[in-house]
Amino acid sequence: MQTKFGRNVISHEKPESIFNRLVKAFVNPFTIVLFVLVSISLFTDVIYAEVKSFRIIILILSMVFLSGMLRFIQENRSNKAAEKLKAMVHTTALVERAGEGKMKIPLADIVPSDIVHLSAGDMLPADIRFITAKDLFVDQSTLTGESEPVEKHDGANLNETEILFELPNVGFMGSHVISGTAVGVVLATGDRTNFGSMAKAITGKRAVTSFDKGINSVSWVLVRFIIAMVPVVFLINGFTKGNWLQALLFALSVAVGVTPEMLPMIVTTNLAKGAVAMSKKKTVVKSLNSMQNFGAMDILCTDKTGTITQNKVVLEMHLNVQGEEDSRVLRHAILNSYYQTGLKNLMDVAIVAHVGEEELRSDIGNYTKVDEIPFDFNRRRMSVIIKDTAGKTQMITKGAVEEMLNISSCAEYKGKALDLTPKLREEILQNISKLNEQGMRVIAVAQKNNPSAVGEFSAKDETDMTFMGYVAFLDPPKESSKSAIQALNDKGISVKILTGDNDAIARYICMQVGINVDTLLLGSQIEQMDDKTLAVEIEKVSVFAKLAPQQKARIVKLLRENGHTVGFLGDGINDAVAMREADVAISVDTAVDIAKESADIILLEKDLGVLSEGVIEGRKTFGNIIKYIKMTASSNFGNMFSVVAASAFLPFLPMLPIQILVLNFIYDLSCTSIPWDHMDEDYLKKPRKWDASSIGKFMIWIGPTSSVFDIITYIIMFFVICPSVCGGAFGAPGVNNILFISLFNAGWFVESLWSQTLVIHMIRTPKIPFIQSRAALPVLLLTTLSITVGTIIPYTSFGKAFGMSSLPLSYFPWLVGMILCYMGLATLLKTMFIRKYGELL
Amino acid sequence: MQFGNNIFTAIGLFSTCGLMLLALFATWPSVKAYQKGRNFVKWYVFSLLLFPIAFVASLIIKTKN
Repeated sequence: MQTKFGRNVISHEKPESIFNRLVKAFVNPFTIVLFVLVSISLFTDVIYAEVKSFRIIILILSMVFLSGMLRFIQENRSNKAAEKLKAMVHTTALVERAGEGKMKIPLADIVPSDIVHLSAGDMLPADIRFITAKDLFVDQSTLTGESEPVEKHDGANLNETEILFELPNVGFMGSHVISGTAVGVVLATGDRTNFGSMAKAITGKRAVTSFDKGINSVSWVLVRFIIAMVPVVFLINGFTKGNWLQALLFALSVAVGVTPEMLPMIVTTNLAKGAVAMSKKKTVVKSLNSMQNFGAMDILCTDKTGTITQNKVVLEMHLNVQGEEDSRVLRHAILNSYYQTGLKNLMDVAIVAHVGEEELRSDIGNYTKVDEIPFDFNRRRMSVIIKDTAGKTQMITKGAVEEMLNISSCAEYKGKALDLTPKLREEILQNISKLNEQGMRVIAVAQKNNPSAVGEFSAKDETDMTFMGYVAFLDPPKESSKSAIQALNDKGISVKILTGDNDAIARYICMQVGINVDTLLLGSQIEQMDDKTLAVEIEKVSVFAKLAPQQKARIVKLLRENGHTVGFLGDGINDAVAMREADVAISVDTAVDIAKESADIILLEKDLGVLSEGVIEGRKTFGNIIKYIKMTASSNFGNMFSVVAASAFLPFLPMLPIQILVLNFIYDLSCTSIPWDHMDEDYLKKPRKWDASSIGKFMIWIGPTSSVFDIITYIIMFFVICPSVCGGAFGAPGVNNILFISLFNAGWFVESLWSQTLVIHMIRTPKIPFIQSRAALPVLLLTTLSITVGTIIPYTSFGKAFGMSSLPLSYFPWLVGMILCYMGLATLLKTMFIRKYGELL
Repeated sequence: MQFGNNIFTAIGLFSTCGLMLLALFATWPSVKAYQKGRNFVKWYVFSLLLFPIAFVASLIIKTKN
């Protein structure tokens, strides 16, 4: 069947072809600029040149090739890593095949004619015709935009409808089960599904994060700099030197020099490296660009059960209405839990596990199941209807205490019926409240003998019940929760608990783990508040209880509107809406399908400690990206001043075009080590948000620092070093002007390389570089190598071929002095910048 | 130092260097004044025009509440 119909995947989700990936790697604003420069150089250096030279073309194309190939290789690696990571997250379906029985198989292996078993929380893996359905409600909002769940059944479609999604007995891939159960036969898979045909439109819409927008805006700012600067440099050099062709070549080379062609590659490498590092810390990043939001997260909203608590629910007590231990209550609870087929939670497992196997078998054997009314989050109860060997039927219902009291008309005590008076209700609620204060979760049990229904049983039959009593469970907090929450707080992330559970339990558990519970908001209180009032309250409150799913989403939305970066950790059906609202949707490997699909990040262990480690990696990744962007932007801004000053005041070009390109090449190579750099511990302590204005300020403050030392280099070379070697000032009789210029070029080449490379170490930390904060070994090695190679070049035949002369030894004390002064001035400016704006990166 | 006939170059480079150093050093009194509650831009212009006076003044002024 799979050979005939193919795998159950949507074709646009398949990886791009190699050709498309190559085009994407090579085509970006910066390489386009370089290709334009190559085209111009082709005319000026080859077609219309007296002496043809391909050197500039070869160098520019080498840089384009290097940057493009590095980006292609890194994206290839990161795609493979992402696929590997995604494969760690399993999405399966329960399928029945003839001759093979029921089994869980990956969604991609489903074929038409498979029988699929669905329950609450499952995503529909294909287009399905329901053959049995019990109180089935399906969320089709991905396909239709309608948030109201739609009821589906297994009967024939009696109403004529032209609207596909209104077909009551067909479910569609892309929707998910809210409540109920169903069995269906697969009609269509993969591209043949309705979802598949719409997939391009739906999944093509990827939300652009502030990070994406920020990177694009930085790129375009730098491109605009280049476009503004090139004509200025060209015109100044043309007018002052008179050689327009040379002026054009120089202007083009400067444009190449300030083009940060490595930016896309370094961003991709950082993100991919960060994602791989996070996977080693049990955090799977499904969406690379969400890492920036992960590092910027300052509020984490999470559920209580299973995150803060052990999710090891133990049945502690089974009490009647007078608060006495009563085995009848337990027996009825067991029958209800045993016979339910829908979403079994841990309380059902705990109830059934409470008695021994033999005792259970002997009791269960006396009953057969007649029907079931599954659980849903609105009713907050579920019922089974069973018949004993004597033919007597009874409905046993268990659920939230308030809802159970509402549907009960009397209570049972020691075999006798009691009026469920307001006084008795009050006593029951008080007993339960005391249990809640001890951290116990309580559900009530009720029953009704000989319930009658016309046709199938439904929620309408849950009336006039006899309230029997309640069972109490304890789900203790995890030992690691307190320290994990403290660790998150230390990292600047405040934790807010958003739970559907009752307030007394929430309060007790949160107190145990160190969350402030001085104020607590209930879902009913939230319902009374408008958005403006709630937006104020949510800042003060850390615990929210008895919440409906939409209320969780509302809180997340308002926190975001208050300016926070909000993460939401969820694993249940009722979390999907809030997860879509959050900046970072976090789920766990054991979550229901819809929660995993909605998540940007998946924890392989539902532990806040794992999250805490992942946040640090996210901040490291973001920090290295910001480092490179600020370095590049400030360096290019500074170079602008140097080049304009040189063009205006020097009687010759300070560097030949080919020398600028070689310098740029060496510098770019040293920058490729930045993704492997460390971040200071202080940097990692706070959430870090993308801030475009910070880059602009950094450029203006730090950029001119290197420019000052470029001009000092011009002065020293022009008035001191070159005259001493060449026997006089430039243009004076008897002076070798060609030697003068080549020496000058070499002097600025070396100084420029030293200052540009050392700026990596200066700017990476607010502390004193090398002494208080040292870069990672790859950065140290590559920068040292760049400086060494660059310093040696003027002494080699390679340097001489590019128009440089060997520098005299007297140059180096000046160089060392300038570099030390440069580092001192840069440190001063850094300190001023931090005092003014509070931080460097 | 040998200037020869390159007076224009000397004036241009030295004055550019001087102005840029002034622009960078002028941040010190402005930031000092800013930390004491004063307007950064106004003090920066003050420092550019009268650096020695601005430097001393930034040390002497009291912190604004």
